[in-house]
Amino acid sequence: MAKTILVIDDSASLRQVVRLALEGAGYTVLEAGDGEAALKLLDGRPINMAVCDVNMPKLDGIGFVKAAKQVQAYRFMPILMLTTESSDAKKEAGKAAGAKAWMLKPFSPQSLLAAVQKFCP
Amino acid sequence: MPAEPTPDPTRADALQSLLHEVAPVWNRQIDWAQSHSAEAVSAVLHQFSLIRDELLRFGLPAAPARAALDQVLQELQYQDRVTQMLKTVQDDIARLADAAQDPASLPNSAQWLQRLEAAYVMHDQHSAHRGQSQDRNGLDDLTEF
Repeated sequence: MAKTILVIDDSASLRQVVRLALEGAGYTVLEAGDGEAALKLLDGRPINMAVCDVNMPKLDGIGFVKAAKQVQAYRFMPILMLTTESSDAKKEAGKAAGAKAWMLKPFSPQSLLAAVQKFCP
Repeated sequence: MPAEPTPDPTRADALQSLLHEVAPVWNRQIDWAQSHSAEAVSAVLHQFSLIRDELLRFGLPAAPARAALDQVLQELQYQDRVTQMLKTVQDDIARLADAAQDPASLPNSAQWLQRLEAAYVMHDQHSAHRGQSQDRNGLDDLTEF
């Protein structure tokens, strides 16, 4: 059965790029435009991993990671931060919140796929 | 030490009025450019996905072709970066329009630029701010925790 990756980004084109990168490798992709919308998708459905932007409206990526870790069924879901944000302080905040890894945009589809396959083989 | 120049109230009013009229036009121009470039990139991505699916129907393309397809997907992400950079400039224009309401308490340019720089999230923004060439090394860098 295909693994499901939740992609959270306020840029529709970025979500399209991630979808293209992951669907080609057999993953199923779910999309959300911000952290708040993503949290609503944590409703018991199977989601194997999240790929999450940092700077987003309503609820940002760090806020989403913290909130997702409070949802029992998803607290071990690996979360990869995929962002243009390069400050060490933000990276540390992501780590402290419980993210598994931090990747900078623009990314090559191959690098993203390799990272996703590492956490969600 | 020379005294700080006293703002001329007439000129200050004129500047305030000018910014009040002009800043929204700048904003609309930037909004228009962002919106249309986002739509264009989205349309290109849609067409790209159709072409790629068609190619994949005939089997996995050779390595150079796959690398070229990946390169297209990477380059198309620059529109998102440009959008983020323009948003910061847009916010700064709004800040200038607000600050012009009270010219007597305007910060100096160094303070202004320091605050602008504090809003940056990308290396590209810092490079552009300082007039340095854009460094594209270190992209898609992965840090595992």
